[in-house]
Amino acid sequence: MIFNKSNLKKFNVKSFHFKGVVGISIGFVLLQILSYIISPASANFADFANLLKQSAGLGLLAIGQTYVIITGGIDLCLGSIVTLVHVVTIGLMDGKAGNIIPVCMLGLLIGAVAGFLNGLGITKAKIAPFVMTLCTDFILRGLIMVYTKGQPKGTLAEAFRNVGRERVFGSISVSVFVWLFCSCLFIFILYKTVFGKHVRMVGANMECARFSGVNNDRVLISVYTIAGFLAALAAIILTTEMSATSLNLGADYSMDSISAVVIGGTMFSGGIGGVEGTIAGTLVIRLITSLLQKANVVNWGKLIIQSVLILGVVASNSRRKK
Amino acid sequence: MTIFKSFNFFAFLSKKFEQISKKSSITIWILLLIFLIPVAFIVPEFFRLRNLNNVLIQMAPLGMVSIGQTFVILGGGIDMSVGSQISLVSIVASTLMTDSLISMIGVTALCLIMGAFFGYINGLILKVFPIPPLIATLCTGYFFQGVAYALHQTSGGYIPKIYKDVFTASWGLISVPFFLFLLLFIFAYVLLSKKKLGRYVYALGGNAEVLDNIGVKSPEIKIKTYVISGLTSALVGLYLVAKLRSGSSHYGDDYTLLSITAVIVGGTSMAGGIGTLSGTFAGAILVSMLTNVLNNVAFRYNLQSAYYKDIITGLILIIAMIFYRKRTKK
Repeated sequence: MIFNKSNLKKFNVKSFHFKGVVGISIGFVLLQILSYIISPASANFADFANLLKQSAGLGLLAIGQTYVIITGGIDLCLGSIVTLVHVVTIGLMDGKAGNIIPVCMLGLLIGAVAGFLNGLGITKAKIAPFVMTLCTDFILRGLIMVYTKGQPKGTLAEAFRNVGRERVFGSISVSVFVWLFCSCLFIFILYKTVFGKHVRMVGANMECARFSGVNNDRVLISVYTIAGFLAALAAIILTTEMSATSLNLGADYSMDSISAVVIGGTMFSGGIGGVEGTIAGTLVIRLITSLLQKANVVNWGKLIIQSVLILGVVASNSRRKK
Repeated sequence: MTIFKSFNFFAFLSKKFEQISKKSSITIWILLLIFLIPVAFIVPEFFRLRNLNNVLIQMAPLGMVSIGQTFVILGGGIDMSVGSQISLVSIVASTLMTDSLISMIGVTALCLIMGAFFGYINGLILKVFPIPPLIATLCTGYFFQGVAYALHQTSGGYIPKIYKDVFTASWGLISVPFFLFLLLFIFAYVLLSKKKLGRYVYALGGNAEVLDNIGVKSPEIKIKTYVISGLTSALVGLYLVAKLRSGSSHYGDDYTLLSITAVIVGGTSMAGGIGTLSGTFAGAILVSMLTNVLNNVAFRYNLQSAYYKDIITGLILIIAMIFYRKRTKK
């Protein structure tokens, strides 16, 4: 028999991914210790809680990116979704508490629709994922400019901002709990549900998945829609913690999320990876950012370090696979 | 019966047309002409000699980058780092250049060598590691952008006036940038369709195994395509730095997507192996003409054209991909 147990065990996906997750977690701990050595004053719980708070938005975004990369694609428009939803949320809320829920709903809808259109272009029109999402990125950037005319307006409702000011257990913000909840939810979906299994199958081998009766198009469209939805959720979470509109809010998020996912052990070739590695990856990226901020070289240092990091991880993975 | 016959005739015609358009880039040139008809009615100013010259000048840098990008995409790859290469070259050139003639020539040569070196790095990474070209060039692009930021936070530097005068001189319909583009185009055309290297590039995109079987090292050809792309990017960086007399880490931002758009609209297949340079020529004209027409329309109706430009570029690329979908599937 071809499909006996010993043959299946030869390619042990789980142990491969497990090594990646353990590696990134150890890396995070070492980096954290390094940062304590550099500035001993930051070795307290409040500082760690602050790191968690900074990671929450990126973490949410990176969950969607993880799913997309597991299917063998890439999503380059998440950053623009964040900015668009952010701008629209602030613009339409207009300081009224009654507007909060409809505006948030609209924001989430925008994200989901953008993701849905990505999925549609990739599956039905057979456009390569990065071309499609790059186009969407450009279109969304244009829409942001059309909507704001370069000068974002609007104010947030006080009740909305109070959510961002809320602290549970003294120092942990609400956004961290949203992030953790979503992470657990999507870890569960990836490993314990049929949909999660389909996502991994599509990433591992599309033809094989199709012959096994998986509706590839539906899986891909759902994955991109989820990514867009989570990006919109991240935008709303980030907006609660801000006082003014920023047109650059999402500028770094596409790149940051890709690096968080990749150093978290998810592979570009598809099929291998998971959200649990992405959590550690997100923390590492944010820790590096804060270290660079302390050294005051954030804008160029981050680009160089992230590019070398991604290239290093992807290159070493590609060699190992052979 | 006659209806069926006419159907057959149309099917025959469309099949014939498809065969022609597979070999040459006639579709996109016809599309360009069709596009000109409404333009003639909406903005008659478009056809003034001065404006036509403007279109050609605006198109030149995009055309040059797209030529390099065509080589890479024909070889089955993609170069996402062209924008950052342009920015980095512009910053290096504006930082180093002084008034003396030797410095001008020296810096120009240095920048071209730098561009070739950037391309070589891209190719080398792809040769050593079996990773997707998208990821590799995206990362090197971010790396170059980081270096550019490190050298110069804002725009600045110095370029002698004579350097600008040489690069931006124009007489009637003929201008130095367009002439440069034309020269590069002819050179690239000969390289691609008459020389061995061109055949190898097509083979690399079509079926790299064939190359290995006839004893040509396909990674070497791949490196060469990226080197060509780096050279054209450096040339564009030099042109932009001469035109604006300062360097900035944002000059190249748009060129990555615009060059890919021009190449894809020009009929080159994303999978590699299919496509022509003359199609890229037409694609570059179409993309830059659009900016010009939009500016004209916006001026007339008092709109902000820059806001809509990104949206329309994105839509055009999507439409082009859908339009060429059948062919890329083979």
